[in-house]
Amino acid sequence: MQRPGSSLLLVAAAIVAATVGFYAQRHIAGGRGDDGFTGRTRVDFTLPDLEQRPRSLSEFDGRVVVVNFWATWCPPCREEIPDFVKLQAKYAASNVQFIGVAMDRVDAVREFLKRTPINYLVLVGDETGTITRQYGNEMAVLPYTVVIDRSGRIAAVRRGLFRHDDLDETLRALL
Amino acid sequence: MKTLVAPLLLLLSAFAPGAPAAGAGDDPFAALKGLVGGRKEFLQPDRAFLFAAEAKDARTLTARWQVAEGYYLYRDKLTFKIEGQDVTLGAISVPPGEMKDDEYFGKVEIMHEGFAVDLPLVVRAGATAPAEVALTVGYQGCAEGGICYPPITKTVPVALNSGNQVTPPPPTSEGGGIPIVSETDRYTGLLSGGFSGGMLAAFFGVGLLLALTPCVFPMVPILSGILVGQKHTVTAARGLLLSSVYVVAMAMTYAAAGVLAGLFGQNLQAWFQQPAVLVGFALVFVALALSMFGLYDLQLPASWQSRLAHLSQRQRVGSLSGVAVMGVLSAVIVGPCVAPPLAGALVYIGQSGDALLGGAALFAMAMGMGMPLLVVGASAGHLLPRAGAWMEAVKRFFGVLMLAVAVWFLSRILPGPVTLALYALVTVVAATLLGAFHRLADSSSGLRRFGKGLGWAACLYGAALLLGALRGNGDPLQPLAQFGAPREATLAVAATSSVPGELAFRPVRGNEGLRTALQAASGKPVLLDVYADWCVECKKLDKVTFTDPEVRTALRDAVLLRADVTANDEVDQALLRELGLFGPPAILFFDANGRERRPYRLQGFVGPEPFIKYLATAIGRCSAPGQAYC
Repeated sequence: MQRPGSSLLLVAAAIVAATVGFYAQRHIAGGRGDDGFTGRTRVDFTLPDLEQRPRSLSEFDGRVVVVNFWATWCPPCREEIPDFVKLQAKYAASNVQFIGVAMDRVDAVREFLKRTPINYLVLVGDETGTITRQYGNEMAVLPYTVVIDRSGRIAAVRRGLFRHDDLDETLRALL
Repeated sequence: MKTLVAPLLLLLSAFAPGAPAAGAGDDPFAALKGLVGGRKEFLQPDRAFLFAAEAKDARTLTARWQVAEGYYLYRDKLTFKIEGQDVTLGAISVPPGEMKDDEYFGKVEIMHEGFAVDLPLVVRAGATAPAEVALTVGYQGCAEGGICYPPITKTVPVALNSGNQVTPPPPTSEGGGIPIVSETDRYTGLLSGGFSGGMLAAFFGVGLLLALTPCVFPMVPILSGILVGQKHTVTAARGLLLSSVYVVAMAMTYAAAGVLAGLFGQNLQAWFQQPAVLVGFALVFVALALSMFGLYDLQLPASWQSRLAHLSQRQRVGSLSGVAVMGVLSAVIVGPCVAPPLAGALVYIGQSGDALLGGAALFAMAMGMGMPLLVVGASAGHLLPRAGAWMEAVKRFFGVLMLAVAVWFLSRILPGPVTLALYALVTVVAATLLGAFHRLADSSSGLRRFGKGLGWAACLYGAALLLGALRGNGDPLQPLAQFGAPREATLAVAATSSVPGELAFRPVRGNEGLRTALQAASGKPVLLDVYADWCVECKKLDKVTFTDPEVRTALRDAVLLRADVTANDEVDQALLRELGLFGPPAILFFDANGRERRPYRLQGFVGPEPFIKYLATAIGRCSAPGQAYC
């Protein structure tokens, strides 16, 4: 302890740097989604489809299910839907089911589907975001995508765009 | 000192979540993540789109938005409505937005940055203009980076006559006006009195009182370590100077961190209690302890040393700046311990936006807390001899203290038995240093013999701690509890837990979880315990208060919820924000209709007896409207 002030300073700086580094590293490494929610059992929900028939998530138990919360007024949501359509076609035989939950008005969704056909189940009615919040989307932002594995556990959640290759990889890992 | 300012600011910004340096607000590392290409973090909707309304004059309201950079609102989704019969809105003209090409909708108009909309009021013929109107606005927007927010609706009261800013509605008093003010509200009330010398003196006094709590204990060894570690003899004047620098740096940190946290509304406490931060501090103390034991000298590289020596020859900056940094770090350590008054100040700063006032109050409080340290600093100069063996003994003593403090940090995140084992280690080290294992010569002084005796006592206590740890105990004061009669003790626990009304907390998570639980509890009073593993006071509540048989009886009919915010993730933070809490521990009460009885909220530890008295008015049978006491 010849020069206590400066050595204390050095130690303090090292600790701060290490702490910052640790957190930065952890945040970056763990940055694939709201990871606190993966591993939980999915919460069942029932919403009407476009023909007003009530449909439940539990109908698809035993399959890999991708639930995508979206709306027609949300540009990034519209951007990723063609990718979901492709992946639904690619994995239909492997028991993968996409479900689009529109936080939007039925007529707006119908109008949208005329121009952009969707080959998977589209549900409407979560306009207040109650269901999406139950899946960890506390701010109810869109798009928000949840991947549920065959045993009903949440395998991945993604806020914002879920890119084609990324989702493809996630699905392959679950099949 | 100039060279120190930048790293100090950096340090502050690193420890104050949401500081401007962090850029994106919610996450202190958002900016960093952006740099290294990690996942983007998004702002809470209320941060992305700041909204306020005010009366421009008696006939016009002004609605203002401030849109964060990289975010936008849809112009055609802006809606305005006045609640009530007598007043309607006239023609509204929203300023033009920016045209954006949307591949689906074609051209859409979006609003960036700040904009204001004037809303002319039309009073129905024959009606008088009200003093206040309720304005409901709707807006909707997205982040350029790829998410959209759900439509937001807000209703705000706007006073018409004076052209005042929107003020949050005053808290409604409940329960027939029982004169109970929760702990945080009391401090907030103190602050609301306005900016005055008396108020600052009051906060200084609160600080002095806090100095008598164990909160300040960890700072004594730090400061003493600095003094003992001084190369030159510490005179009273230099001791006072060093401790003043230390205390002022600490107080400045409180002021700065308090203002920042208030302005950005973040949960400081949880941040300071992060495992990595705690481990970091524990490591500092172990390192300091080892150097106290003379294992090594902490030194800078030679080139730095010569530069610093050069500097310090001119202005003796080296040690003072180091002391200042330790002061800053100490504030960070002690912060959580003084959570309730801190939270009070922060709540006020958040509400008033008067950062200067809040900062001054916190500074005064921290100076009060630091007063005893100044005394320590000044007296240490007198007490410490120039050199010699006595000095070594003091260094060893502080080395042991620092080790104990390191374990104390870790005790918040380690399981009880592991902590106990670490305390055992520290105790045995102390015993060795006291000379327990040294052979006494016939000529040994009485002091040496006394030391050896103490050393053996410490060694036996250490052994007891270790035994306790091996048995799975976690209480250093009762390491061998249940040792003699484990069976009976277990049976007794089993017996009490079968009593109806056992404290079985139902876990709730997030705002949604709380809402659901409150709905499910309809008709019954609800107690919500906000808890975290890293919160010492929470554990104390669990151990002391919630195990008390009378408390159990008093809570028999209440629904007990527990929000475990250990993870402190987005969901937890949203809950804390919604509840207006800065962190655990907190006990909240809800009436049969699921509304919080806000005046009754408790923050910090409460012993069983006051808690039972408190419960008598805070929950259940005595809470019928108009019925103040049982």
